[in-house]
Amino acid sequence: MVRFVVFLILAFAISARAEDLVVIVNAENPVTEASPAEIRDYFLKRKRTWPDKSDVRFIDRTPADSLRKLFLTNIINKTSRDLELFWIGQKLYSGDSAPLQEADEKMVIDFVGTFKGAIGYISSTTALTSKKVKALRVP
Amino acid sequence: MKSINSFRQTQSLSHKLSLAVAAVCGLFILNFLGLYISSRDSLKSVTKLYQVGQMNAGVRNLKQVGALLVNSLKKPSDTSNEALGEIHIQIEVQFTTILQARNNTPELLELLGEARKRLDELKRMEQLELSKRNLLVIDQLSLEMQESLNRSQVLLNTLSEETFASVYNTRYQPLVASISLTLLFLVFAIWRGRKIHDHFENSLNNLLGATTAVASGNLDHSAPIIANDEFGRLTFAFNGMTRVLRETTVSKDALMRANKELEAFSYSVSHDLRSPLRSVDGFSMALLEDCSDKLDETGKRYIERIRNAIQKMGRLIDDMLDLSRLSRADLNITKVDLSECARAIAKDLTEENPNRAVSFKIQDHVEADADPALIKVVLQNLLSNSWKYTSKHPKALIEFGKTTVNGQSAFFVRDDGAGFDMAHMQKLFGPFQRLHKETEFPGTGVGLATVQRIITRHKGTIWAEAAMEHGASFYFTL
Repeated sequence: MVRFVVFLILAFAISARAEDLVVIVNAENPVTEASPAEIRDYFLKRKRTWPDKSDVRFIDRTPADSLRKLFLTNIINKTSRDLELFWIGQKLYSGDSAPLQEADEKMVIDFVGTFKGAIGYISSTTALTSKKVKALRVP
Repeated sequence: MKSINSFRQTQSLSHKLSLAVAAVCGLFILNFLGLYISSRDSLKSVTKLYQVGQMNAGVRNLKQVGALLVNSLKKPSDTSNEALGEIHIQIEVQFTTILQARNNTPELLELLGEARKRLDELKRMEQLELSKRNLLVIDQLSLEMQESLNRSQVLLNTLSEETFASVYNTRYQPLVASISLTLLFLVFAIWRGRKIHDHFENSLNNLLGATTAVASGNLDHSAPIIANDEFGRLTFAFNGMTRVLRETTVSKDALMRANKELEAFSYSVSHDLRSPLRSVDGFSMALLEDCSDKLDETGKRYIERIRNAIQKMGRLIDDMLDLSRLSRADLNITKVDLSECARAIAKDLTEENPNRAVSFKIQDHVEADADPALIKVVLQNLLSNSWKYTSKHPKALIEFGKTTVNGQSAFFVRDDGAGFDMAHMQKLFGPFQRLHKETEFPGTGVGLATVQRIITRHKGTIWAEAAMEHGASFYFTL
């Protein structure tokens, strides 16, 4: 009985988390699906181009945004503090900078719609009306 | 000379020395070359370091200029058109500066290309109205530009560190190379110098040994030829000289032996002649005394002439015996007061012929290291000659002293008598040689030969200067 209750709670948590954020890319991007590991590589600039050779341009959310915390926890597997230290190190040793951060979801959508290689994430509750972006399926 | 020329020299000292000098020069050049090669990488690295520093400064400037461009895009009111133009110029200048540097790597060029692309995109946004400019896009392009430049700087820093590490790691290389080559040079120079020194020393010792042996009388010694160079040639010539000296010495010895035998023979003959001569003299005198009544005047005159000839022959034999004795007698060298000796002889001559007006001028304190008896014979002969050859002059002056002739100190006996013709000088000191007739000045012609022999035995020389009727001067050294 107890095992069943725990299973239900975990199942609910996973489904709720998946519903909280949606990874979006430019509509011209041929990629339709990306694993969390691939998204992590794009975010941390381990991969700089898409398969069609267009530049990856990640737009992050501001630190105060709860969606960002969710993104960091679920996809990047780092805390905000760890990520901050990571980018300091990257700036020193490889010259890479952290992605731009934007609080406004509309701006995020505009940004992704502007650049072919752009990628960002928004809340799953936000209606995706722009034809310039599309949701990326994250298995 | 022929024997020297027959030596075949196959090596040359000057050639060896030239080779040594050439080797030293070569080592010097090698040293400089080694120093250059060992320093070349360091110098290149330093140059690279300088160029990387310049590129780094260019990238830094580009970042600042890019930031100004971004600011002008976001807030056009803060930037005048002139400032914007200057920003554009600076962007071009900095890019040109970086790209002109020689140490651009493909990776760096790619990063700079990306930065350039972003800057171009940003510049294109200047064409848009402010309201149409997406600040987020500007920020993204700015971020990408800065990121490319940051990565360029990281790359340049890495390059700089590697280059510096290369300089640091090879900092002792020129010193080590220089010291090593210098040591090599020194070892070679010492080795070569030692070899030349040994060769010189051995060759000189060889010659010195040979010279010492020959000087000590070993004329049979022959120096070994240890090298076919100038020393070998010299040794060969020395051996030739020793051979000639040996042959000359053998001839001289034979001559001396022959002379001694001749002197002994002369003495023996002179001595043996005296006995029959005395018989002839005695019987001729007995003939005059005991048979004078049986001889007419002509016979008596003939016998007188016979007796005069016998007496002259007796004097000749005496002189020959004296000459022979002088040659064989041992020398007893001591300090002799020649002035005193000359005065004694002058006194005797004056007392023997008191009627003659002859003045003697004798220097005081003329001394010499000589055999007293023999040197007295010399002065006796020379002063007697002067006395004799001034006999035709009513007044005469005879001098004795010491003077300097052609820088050489010499004793002299001078007179103002008959003198002689210098053309017959070579006959002057020959035995039985006379420059005047017997009737003019009597004598046997042995006196000056005796004088020369005594002077020669004293290792000295004698010579004369004279003119007919203007006297004669005899000079001698001891």
